[in-house]
Amino acid sequence: MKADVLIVGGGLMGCATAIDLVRHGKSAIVFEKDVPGRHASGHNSGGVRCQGRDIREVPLAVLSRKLWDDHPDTVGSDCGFHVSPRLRLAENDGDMAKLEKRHGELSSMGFEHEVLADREEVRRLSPNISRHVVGGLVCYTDGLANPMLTSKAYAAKAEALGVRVLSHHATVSVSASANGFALKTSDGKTHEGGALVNAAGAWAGKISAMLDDPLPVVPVAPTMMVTDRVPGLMNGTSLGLTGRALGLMAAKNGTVIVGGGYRSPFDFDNEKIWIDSTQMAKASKLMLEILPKLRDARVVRFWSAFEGNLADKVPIIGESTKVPGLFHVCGFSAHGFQLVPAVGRVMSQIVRGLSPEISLSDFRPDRFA
Amino acid sequence: MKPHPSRFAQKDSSADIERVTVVLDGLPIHVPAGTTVAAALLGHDDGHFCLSTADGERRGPHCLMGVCFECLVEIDGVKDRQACLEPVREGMRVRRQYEQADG
Amino acid sequence: MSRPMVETKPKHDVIVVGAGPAGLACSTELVGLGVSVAVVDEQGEPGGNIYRNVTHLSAQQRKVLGLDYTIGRELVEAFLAAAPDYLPRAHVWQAEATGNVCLSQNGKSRKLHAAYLVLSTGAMERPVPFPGWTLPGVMTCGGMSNLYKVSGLIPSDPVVLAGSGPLLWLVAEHLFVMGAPIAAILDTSTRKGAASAARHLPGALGRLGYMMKGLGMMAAVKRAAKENKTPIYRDVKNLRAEGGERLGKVRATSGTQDLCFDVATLLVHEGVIPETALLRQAGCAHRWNPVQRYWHADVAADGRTNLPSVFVAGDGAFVHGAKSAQLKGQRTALSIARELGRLSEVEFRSRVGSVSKELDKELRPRPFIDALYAPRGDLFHVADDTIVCRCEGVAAGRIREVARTGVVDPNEIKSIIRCGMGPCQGRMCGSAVLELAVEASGVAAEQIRALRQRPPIKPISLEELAAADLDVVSPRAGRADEETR
Repeated sequence: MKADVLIVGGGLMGCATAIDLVRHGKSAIVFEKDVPGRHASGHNSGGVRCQGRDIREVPLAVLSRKLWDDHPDTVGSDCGFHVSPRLRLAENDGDMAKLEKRHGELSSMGFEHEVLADREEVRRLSPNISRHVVGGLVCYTDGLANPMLTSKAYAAKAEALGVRVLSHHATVSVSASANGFALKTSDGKTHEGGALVNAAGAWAGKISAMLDDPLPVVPVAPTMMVTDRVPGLMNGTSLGLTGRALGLMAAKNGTVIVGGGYRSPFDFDNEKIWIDSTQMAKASKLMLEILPKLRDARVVRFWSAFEGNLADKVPIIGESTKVPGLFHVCGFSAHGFQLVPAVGRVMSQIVRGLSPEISLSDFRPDRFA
Repeated sequence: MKPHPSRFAQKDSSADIERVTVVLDGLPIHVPAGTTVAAALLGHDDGHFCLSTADGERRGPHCLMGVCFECLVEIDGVKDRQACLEPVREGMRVRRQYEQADG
Repeated sequence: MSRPMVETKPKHDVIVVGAGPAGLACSTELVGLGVSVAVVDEQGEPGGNIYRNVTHLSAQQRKVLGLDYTIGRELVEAFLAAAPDYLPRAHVWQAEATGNVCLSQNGKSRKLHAAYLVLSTGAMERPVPFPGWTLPGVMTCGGMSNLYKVSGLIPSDPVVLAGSGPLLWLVAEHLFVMGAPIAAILDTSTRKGAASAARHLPGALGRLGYMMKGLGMMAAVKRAAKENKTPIYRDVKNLRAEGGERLGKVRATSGTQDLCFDVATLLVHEGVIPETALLRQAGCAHRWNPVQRYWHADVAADGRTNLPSVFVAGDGAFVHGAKSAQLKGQRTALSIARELGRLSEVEFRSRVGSVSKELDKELRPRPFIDALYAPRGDLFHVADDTIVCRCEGVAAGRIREVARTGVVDPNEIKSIIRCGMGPCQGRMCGSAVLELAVEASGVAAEQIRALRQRPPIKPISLEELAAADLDVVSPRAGRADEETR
């Protein structure tokens, strides 16, 4: 098969890119080794937040947040999105100073989406919070969505627009020539395209290695958990900490989703993750410090999925400096999936040879050299 | 409102059966020793055990072997215990989980 | 690759999970061979569901429950005499392929480690949704039998029994003997099962005693039903429980006849399936059985799984009944003892022969029984508005709707509409979700990924988890140094 663009990875980044490309007249094939949503796209913690993002990502995040509201039109599903203000807590004056500094930086850039909250406002947003919390920074427009529903909606929309989404088609090899790329799939077939998008998530490093363009993206297995329903306890407000690692998301149904960069050991080649319960025990201790009333909440499930991680915690979005026509989009571990719609758009722009509507210079693949 | 009397009866109804006192919703009840909390409650009256946290509907024991999580009660201050797996003990405090979920 | 490694020395050679026939026989045998064993069990007393409360039964209860219970009693007594490290009322909430288990006992969680795990988690009744099955008053036959075994509790108001399978008839027989009022027995089995079972009859006849027992039980129920003027309806369909806050009415059809009973208790049963939650969570490979229509652990004759340290013994691997479970437990014990060097090759050979022979004999009638009591084709043809996932209140129509969009993997369906996300972790809806996905999509069950099980396989409170003593740590345990997402 032939197409203008070959996309490796049927997760959200790959499908979002494909959707925008076909909307602009390009043809695309998506190669997915499992099914869309099998790994990080379908199993992340569901956070749709601007709050707490690296300053470099903020312009992209602010654009993306607007695009989340358009999902019923753009992908035919609301993706389960609902607003849950995200409150980043200061547990002491040092934390508060950090948040104030961030707020100042954002203001100077012209961004007003994150607002400083004093003790009183913190209590109003989250009445059950521990007394030691001194203040916070809140983003009232942040929220949560359903990762699996979103993954399936994106893949279905891509297919409806004419993208070939080939599930169970692992990419065995890929090579570049003057005319573009030849990609061989696990069924033995070869596909040709003018451009190649590496949206392979945790496997992005393997794909880039096939083209002699190594990327420092490594697989990790972030580990999360969810409680049973504790209606009202979070007051619909999601929480993060400033000096310690914890993220608590208040799902609409009353459950609490817990993340914060906890990880489990794994065997990547055999795709096995040994869920490390000691990590979840650590998270539980922290949770009780922040919200003592969570004591009786029951932990219903731990889970984990492979994600691609980069040392500076900022993704790669851009064209390879070594292989023209190869575009990387990876390294979103611990980002939730808030950036998806905006990244799909700017990826499509650069693949089509346009300059992106938001500068991607901070996300260059060669920034690690 | 007082629940309907139990739909079950003790097969061995001899008077010398050993009993323990359990505090059910604040009131002492005398139940056969060696039974589970679920059996003790089913033998006491016809009340339900808990409310579905998804839709607030009344629920009671279904599988009685630890699988279904429909017989959840509060035992000695700890919520959501599986009554079918918990043996009764003298002085044990048991509460039915009446609170309406609002989620 | 970063394999979790265990740093502490194992305290036990073997951890056995479950104290039913398989777990009891396995641990007793192992202790006899000088192996150190910890036995973790949910119940307060050894015996499992089948031999529940076996050591404390009154003379009257023993008379009702019959001869098989004597076997159970001997098994439990041998176990207690062997005296392994026995942890009753303890829930294993995570089993790791390396030999770790995380367990909760008396509200406290901790980790145990052994060189081998034997998972003998037994069986559970096949949950089959029908309208009104969430109403208080709708219980299972197995549940009822636990009630009278443990508590001597029998129905005082009339009950209806509905379903198919040996346990339905056994419970009916027991209830009749104990004088409980039965309004009706609704037999949902079909003639088709009997026809396809017939081809297995020659094998089954090799175990004539077994067959006679089954026939004797049916005859006893029919006799008692006649004496008590309890009607037995055949070819029953459209079972429905009705009531406001609890069960008040049971409706069904038998052929062209509409049935309606004003009862407060309905006892249902549609066969028995392996309880595989812990097995799946641990990572044991599973296989689909097209006759009994369930996933079961794919094990060798000695219970060996794909995981080198993990064995599955008893009904958890395939439902063969109590006697077989006991023999399977023994068989597993012999293999582990040999691997641990407690049995020489010669000793092993001499012992394993007789156990295997007895097990073969026991398994001979099983193809006949499996075919006879195979779930009928329309068992899961439930109406769209019937609740399937009891925990999350998800109805059949929603599952069909999602499956029709091409999403047939129960794991994905779960993520999208929450069926299987509640505290029972899909134990109650798993069979039905799979069958509905098959029905809506036309994809064969064995082509669909089985429902995964995540730890903790039974919920634990946050307070308990925070205080858990999980000291066996992997050297490359995760970090918590990142910005949260």
